[in-house]
Amino acid sequence: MINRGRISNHLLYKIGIIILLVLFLLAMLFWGLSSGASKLSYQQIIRALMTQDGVEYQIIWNIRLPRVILAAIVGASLAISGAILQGVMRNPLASPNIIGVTSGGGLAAVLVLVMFPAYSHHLTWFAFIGALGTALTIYLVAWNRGAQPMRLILSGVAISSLLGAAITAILLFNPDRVIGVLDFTVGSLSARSWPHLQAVWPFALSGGILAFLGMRDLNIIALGEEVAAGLGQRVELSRFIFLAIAALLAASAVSVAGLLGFIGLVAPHMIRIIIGADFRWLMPGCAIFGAALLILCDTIGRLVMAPLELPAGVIMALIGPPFFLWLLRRRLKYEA
Amino acid sequence: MKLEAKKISVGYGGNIVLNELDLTVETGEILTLIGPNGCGKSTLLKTLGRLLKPSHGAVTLNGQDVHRFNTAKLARIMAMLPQSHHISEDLTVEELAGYGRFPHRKQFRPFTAIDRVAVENALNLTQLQNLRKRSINTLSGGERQRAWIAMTLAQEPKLLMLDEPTTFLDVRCQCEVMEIIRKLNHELKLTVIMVLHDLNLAARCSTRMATVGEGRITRIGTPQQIMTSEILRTTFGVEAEIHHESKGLPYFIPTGISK
Repeated sequence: MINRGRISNHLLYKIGIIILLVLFLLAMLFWGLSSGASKLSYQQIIRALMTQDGVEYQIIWNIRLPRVILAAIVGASLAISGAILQGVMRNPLASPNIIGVTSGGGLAAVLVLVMFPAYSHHLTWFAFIGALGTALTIYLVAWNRGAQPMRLILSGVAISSLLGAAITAILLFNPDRVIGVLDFTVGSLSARSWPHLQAVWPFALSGGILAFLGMRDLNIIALGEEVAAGLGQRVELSRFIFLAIAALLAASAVSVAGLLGFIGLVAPHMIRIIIGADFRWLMPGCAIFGAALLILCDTIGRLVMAPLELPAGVIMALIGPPFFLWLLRRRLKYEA
Repeated sequence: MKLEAKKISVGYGGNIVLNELDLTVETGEILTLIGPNGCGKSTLLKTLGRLLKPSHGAVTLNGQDVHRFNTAKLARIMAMLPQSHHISEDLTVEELAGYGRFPHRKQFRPFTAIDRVAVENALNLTQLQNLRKRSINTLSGGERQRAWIAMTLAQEPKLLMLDEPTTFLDVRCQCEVMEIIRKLNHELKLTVIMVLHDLNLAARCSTRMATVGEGRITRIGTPQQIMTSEILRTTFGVEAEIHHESKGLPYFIPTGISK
């Protein structure tokens, strides 16, 4: 009877899980660097990075390394963002989509790519501003002496479908441009390199640090508004700060890699199933797992139909749900 | 430690729930708020516990408006257990009680020996020592309610507010919760304010009972003073026989609806 339906609460178990996740991430990093049109061995990778010379070095330094690092940053940002939102909203369906980051970033990107292609080299910044602006709009619409989670979710859904309709309308009237936009709306890391990395890392780093500083407060806010207030938390202020952190992380990720929101929904659930809901473990777990998961999807996408590339978003949508459902069923079996 | 409501008015939208209500809570008492559904007793408790801000008037602790307090400092003096509290996540009894230390801990300060002692005391008072590693979701209703009370006790408050702590519990669990509340009041000198629907339960463990109606405290006094057929008729609209058990505490049996 004791511990029925519960993942082990042992400290060693949790540390073990984190170590396994780190190993998984390292394996994915190396796999991402070695895979591609020319397959490189681990020795070649290390030699190339040490000598900083040769064709291998060019491939790794200019193409694969920035792309793998970017995938890691984007994946980690979205997973942390999703974990924060699920805690703050107290809703398992919360994800970066719910605060309009994907629809807002998507609409801005489609507008630039279709209507103002002359500015498309600034795509990242337009998408970033569109994503953050939409998140802020949703917050303001939901505000009525406080921003209650249910109102946030409902206004998020409403505004997101409005923007989604706008995206569809623009694409319908410009069918010739649809292909160019797909890469962004599906979510992809294709042809991303150092400039993209330079655009996101300050946001990802600062958002990540803030998220880690807030782990203890997240545990409290997840207990519910009234309980948290009773424990002395300034709930409204904390909620705003956490929403801002989540929006910042997701917006920076979406602005470079497109609409990969699904990872923000699924990664926190997967990690919660194996490590529990305590944010002090959940947050690092999500960061590491999100990073590894996106590298995995991106690398599979590069390999399965080579020399053609499948966007990471497609792979994520194909392998994410079955794996997720398997974890869910396994857990249900333990609880029964 | 003196908690007072001074002419507080609270409303939702245009609907006035509390209208210039005055109340003084005596230190060390168990004060139970009673009244029919929708009379505003939960609203009053939330306002006293600074979860709601009155539109007029103020709730003061030692003369200072509770909304001007540092929130953590206030949480070290008064703890509040709302009526609806549920968590969907796995969390052990011990972890939940540990969250009660939140207002005592600074950022990055690890869990200290003092924190551990406070959690230990809270688990002892609620008799949850043997269930400490159990997930909240696997507990019975009564055990779960005790775990939430343990969290508020780990706050080490002087004043504890409980909104319908026995609703949905079977009769034995109700007695357990009431025993704990009485023990806290006797041994720790904790002042308790609570909302109860069960008048007989309220009469058994309260120092004072207060009826809420028309946005104000309509009657306040000892259980003997409040549990009268006249007050039950005017407050709840029921006809009732009042009896006294062997210790002289009043209980009632409803016999019908007032015409």
